[in-house]
Formats: sequence, structure tokens, C-alpha cells
Amino acid sequence: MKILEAQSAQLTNYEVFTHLTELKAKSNARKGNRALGRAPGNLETVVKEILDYFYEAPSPLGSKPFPYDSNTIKRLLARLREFRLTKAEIIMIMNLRPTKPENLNTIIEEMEGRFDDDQQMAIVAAIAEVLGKPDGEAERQAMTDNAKEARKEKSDMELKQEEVMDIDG
Amino acid sequence: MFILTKIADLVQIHPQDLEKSHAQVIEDNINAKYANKVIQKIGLCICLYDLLYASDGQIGNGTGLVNINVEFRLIVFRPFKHEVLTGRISSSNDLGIRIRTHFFDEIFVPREMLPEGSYFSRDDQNWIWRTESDDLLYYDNQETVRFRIEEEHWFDQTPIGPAAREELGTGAAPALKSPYTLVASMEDAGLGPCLWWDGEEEEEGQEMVEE
Repeated sequence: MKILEAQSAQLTNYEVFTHLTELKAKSNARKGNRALGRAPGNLETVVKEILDYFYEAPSPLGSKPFPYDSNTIKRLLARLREFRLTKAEIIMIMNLRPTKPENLNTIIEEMEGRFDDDQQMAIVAAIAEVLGKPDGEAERQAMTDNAKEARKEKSDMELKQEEVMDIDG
Repeated sequence: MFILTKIADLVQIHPQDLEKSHAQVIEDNINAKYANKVIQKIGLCICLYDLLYASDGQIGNGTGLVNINVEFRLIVFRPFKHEVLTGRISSSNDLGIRIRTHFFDEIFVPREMLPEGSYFSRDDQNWIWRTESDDLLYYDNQETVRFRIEEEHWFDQTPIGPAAREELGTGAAPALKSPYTLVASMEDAGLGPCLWWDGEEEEEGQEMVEE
């Protein structure tokens, strides 16, 4: 193995998402084909885990209607050109879809110094125009449910372990 | 969050795989070798992105293996410094908060990178932030949080031979650390549990309706 170029490009989550869904469809089509067999197990594991991550609130990839298409990046760049944001900031805006100044603040460095309130609102409006707005209520509900479910699973598991220990004892 | 890395490598095709198309076998071999594994100073490899070059296959003497030199690009998880990501709190102790995503578990927020006024509650076993207005905000387990990447740490897991180990003076093999860990912060406004920051607008809107 020889590394030719440690970092030849940066990808947005949407690009990774499209690649992985295609990959998944391809590996599903292999099922039952004896000559091809299954895709490597470690690949199936990581693809499933990342897709789970992408579908989980508050990721825009899991929201409806689906906010991205093949022209989204172009449109976003065109709308945000006047604000002279860095590449890293654009990537994070693509991935996280901040729709409020408080959220934008974490992404844009020195935001208060670079943009006044009107400009901040203009950036947020431009993002909402291209990527749409999340359904805040549903998103929060999903996050709360996810947390509850995970906590329950954990306590169930602990209970089970205790039972097993009782039987052993 | 994700980057492309260009790598050159040798792929060996076993005779029993010759029924598949070459492109498919090469892809499978690369994925089997790299997917879900960490390369030092590169990141966590996800999967093959595209194949750039493949040489003619050459059969080695004595084995039936077809040797092919390939160049390809991999999708790699490697967040840049100061990138903001989301994940979930998996556990807390008095040193800080541990965060995980579905595919990556090794993210740690040390206590000094939490907002001022945060303390660890031994009764609840989680962190609490006492805000300036004396409200208590809880960092509950499994809560979805937003955090900013500050540092990355690499740990080479290459085993040390017995002779080298004796030189180091440690008798037993040292405990293996994770090959790639991230340190994050949740200090600034907008970071921390998403529910703290995302809820406000809605409430204001409701008040206005009531008026």
C-alpha cells in the first residue's frame, strides 16, 4: 500500500450519501447470485452504520422532503457568493443546514465581526431558500424519542444481564 | 467530514474468484482490505470511491494468483479542525463527556471544553451546566449534541516485538488504545444538546400567536 495523495478532495455528506445508497442497491442486487456471493462483511457494517447516521435527526438527509439534488451545491454557491465564505464553512452549511443565526454562529468563524445582523439574516434566508427548512417540531420529537429508546435499550440490557447472573448464581 | 484519499496497491485475485468480473473482484478486494479500518494519519476508511488505474493481470510462479497493480480513491472519515458535527452522548464521568456516532465511538469532550459553570453530578452521573441566570441544563445520556472538533490523536497499534519490549522496560504488552480518537469542545453558544438551541424560535412564535 502506498498513499499517493492523503487528501485529493473533500466530500459533502450528500455526495457520500448518494455513493453509499448506490453501493447498497448494488450489493442488494447480488443477493442470491451464487457466483458473486455477498459483498465483504466489514463493508456492509460500515455502510449501514453511516446510512443510519445520515437518516437520524437532525441530519437534513433524513428529513422530508429530501432537500438535495445534483444541482444543490451549485445553487448554494451562487446564492452565498457575495458573503465570501470559506470552503470549510460552505461544506458545513451543506451538511448541517443551519436555519437560525445561533446555529450559523458555530459554523462561521468570527461571525459577529464579519457580518452584521441583516447580513446574518440574509445568509440564513439564502440557506433556507436553497435547502429548505427543517420541520423543527418533528425533528425535536425524533431526537427525544431516539434518546429515550436508546436509554430503554440500555436499561433492558442491564436487567437481562442481572437475570443471567441470578440464574448463574 | 469525508475526504477522498488516493492510494496505490497490489490486488491479488484468487482463482475461485475468476468467475466474477475483474472490476467487481478488484472492488471487493479493496473494500475487504480497507472498509471500516483506520490508516494512521489518514482516517477511518469507508469504501472505494473510484478505480483510477489497473494494470494487466500477471500470474505469479507457483500460485495461481492474478496480480494487478491498482490506483484508486477511497472515501475516508476525517473531520477537519473546527468542523461542527452531531452525535450522541454515550457516557459521562468527572473527566468529561464521551460522544459517539453510529459509526465512530471515540469522541471525547474534556471538562475544560464544556461551558463555564458546568459541573459533574455524582448523583445523576452526568454533567450539568448552571447558566448565568441560574438555570440548570442537563447533558443527559443519549442526547443528540452538536460539537466542534479540536484535536485528533493517533495511536499506532503495530505490535512491539519481545526484544523491543524488554528494552522499553515493560514486561507485559501495553494496553492497546484506539488508533484514532477525536477531542471536541462544546463551549460556544450553539454547541451542546441540539434541543437547547433549536427550540427557542418555536416558543417565540407561539407567544406571538397568543398575543
